Amino acid sequence: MKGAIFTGFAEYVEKEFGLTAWLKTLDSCELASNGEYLSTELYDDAEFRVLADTLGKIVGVDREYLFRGFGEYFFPVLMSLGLTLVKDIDNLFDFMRAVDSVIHIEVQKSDPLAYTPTLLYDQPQDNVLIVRYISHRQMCHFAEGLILGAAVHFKQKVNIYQTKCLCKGDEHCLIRVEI
Amino acid sequence: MPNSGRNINIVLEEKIALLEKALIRERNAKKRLEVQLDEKAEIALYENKEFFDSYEKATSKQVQLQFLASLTQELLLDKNIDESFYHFAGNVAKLLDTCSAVVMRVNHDTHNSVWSLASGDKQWQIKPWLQGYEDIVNPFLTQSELCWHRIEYKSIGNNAIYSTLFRNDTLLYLVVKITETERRLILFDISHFCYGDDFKQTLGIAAQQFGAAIKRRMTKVELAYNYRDLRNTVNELRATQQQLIHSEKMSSLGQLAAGVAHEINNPIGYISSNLNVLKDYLKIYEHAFSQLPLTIVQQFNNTKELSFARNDVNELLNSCIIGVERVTDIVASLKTFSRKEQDDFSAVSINEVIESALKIVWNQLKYDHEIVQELALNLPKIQGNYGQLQQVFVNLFVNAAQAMNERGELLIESNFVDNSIEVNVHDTGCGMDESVIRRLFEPFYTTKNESEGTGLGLSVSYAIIEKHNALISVSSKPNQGCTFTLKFPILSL
Repeated sequence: MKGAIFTGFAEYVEKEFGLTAWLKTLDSCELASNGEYLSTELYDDAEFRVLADTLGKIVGVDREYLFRGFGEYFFPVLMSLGLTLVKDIDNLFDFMRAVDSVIHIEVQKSDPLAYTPTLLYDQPQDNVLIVRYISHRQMCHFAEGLILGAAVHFKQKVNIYQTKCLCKGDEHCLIRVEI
Repeated sequence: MPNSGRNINIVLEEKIALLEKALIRERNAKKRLEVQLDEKAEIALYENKEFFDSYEKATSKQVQLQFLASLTQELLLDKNIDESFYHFAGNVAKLLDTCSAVVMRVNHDTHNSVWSLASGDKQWQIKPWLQGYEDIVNPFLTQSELCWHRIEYKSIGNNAIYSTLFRNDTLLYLVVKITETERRLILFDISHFCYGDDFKQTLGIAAQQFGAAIKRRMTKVELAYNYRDLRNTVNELRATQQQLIHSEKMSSLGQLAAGVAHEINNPIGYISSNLNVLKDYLKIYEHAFSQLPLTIVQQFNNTKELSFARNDVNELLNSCIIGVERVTDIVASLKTFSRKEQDDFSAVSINEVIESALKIVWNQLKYDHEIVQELALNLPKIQGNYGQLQQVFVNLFVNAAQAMNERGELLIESNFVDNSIEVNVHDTGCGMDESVIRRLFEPFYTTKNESEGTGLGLSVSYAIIEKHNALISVSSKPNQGCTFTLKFPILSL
């Protein structure tokens, strides 16, 4: 997983739960990276899950809540990077369609052949966009958070729910977004 | 102590504040460094991005091309319409995460049909068409053809009917036109239609290809039907043309025969009459001559010649009378051949006619040939002239007998076929070639010796058959026997 996610997560935790919560989390985990993350590097996916679960125990929240919250927090960070693919976008659905390409490029910068999640779309109605999220990382709730963050950014009211979820044993996640 | 403790706290707070500042500085420095690294990585990535994008595109295109190529290959095979639909829908179902599929035939003229393929199955099942299916599919049929349409169950309604075929919330469907009255729907029971643009494009191309293949197949079917109709029409025209030529020829011959008969009839009439009168006169002469005394007779200069003439004159006269009778018969036959008007027609049993004709020629046939009768029972009667029809069959039986060597077989069949009575007269005789068959019904055309026939039998038979609104045809090959087929319209009530 891209280091930017780890560094972003550290900032989110520091803001939401305090620096000590993050330091305590790092201290409680045995990590191959020793918690020394550079946003440009790639790190083992398992580290992120370990960090999230440990933090969850420390602050008393579940992984779903953490990921969704992190996603919401991370959206403005993503936009602040001034990424060419998303900087001119002015609505939620266009952002959702572009985010797949953003993730690809960001990961490929570190390793062109690195594994990237797949996001596929279907718009059965004008106000509905369904996203199929395929990734062994099971970060669908982070994706949900990003969408929520984007909705706030584009000032659009949104209703999100998953009709299928990898975390519940389905073969993919189907995130239904209604505006 | 309290002062020193407070000092320590102040020192610690100051230290923490300084450390926090240091941390922020370090973090900012790290971020700047990361941005620089990121920029370099971005430059490096874009240097090779084209290559990676091309690789990704090529991989994706290869999969699409493989699918389309295999589809095209299958579509080119000479499958029927149903098989083509099974194959296409089955392959697309595999692509769509092995979902289940349904094919519906919706026809305005005949009943509708539905086939389904369960998820992961290879065998299509026929399902009963339920009444509510129209409500589900009718809105689909108004959509553009050969384009994929996707609809969510919420918009469809009628849960009970829907759930007899589908389990998921989303349907992907394709409308294919078969004929003006028939459409087919291919429906896929899918949980989502979240696929990449390339994938959706490939499905679109596949649908277009499939539509083109079906159109081609239907055009082929239509062409085959048209070709068949055209061939039938040509055959009918050819038969009608032959019939017309034959009728025209027979009509001309009939007129000629009528003219000849008329011209011959009068002289033959008085020749025949005069010959009979002459015969009576000769009897008177002979009677008178026989009463002359022998001495007077012997005084004639040419006694020998006179004696010869007396003996020969009767023979000559009888021979002339026989000859004239034969000419009279021929003239009578010519009249029958050329006569167009209806004779005395009544309801006639064709089997009775055949049996009576057989009795007439029985002596000619019974010793040399086997006669097989396969006459259908309870045949309806026809409208006809008993005597003339008998003449036709006598003629056919005599011809058959003459065509066969010893131990031939004459098979006579009668049947009710296609609202008419069909009679077949088959012999195992010498048969005929095409040139003989062509002239068979012409008057005076014969293959027999002069002493055996006049060549009027079949032409008269033809005329009689025609007067009965019946048809006569012949099928024969040299040394393979001969079959005359007669078709009589049944007596309409």
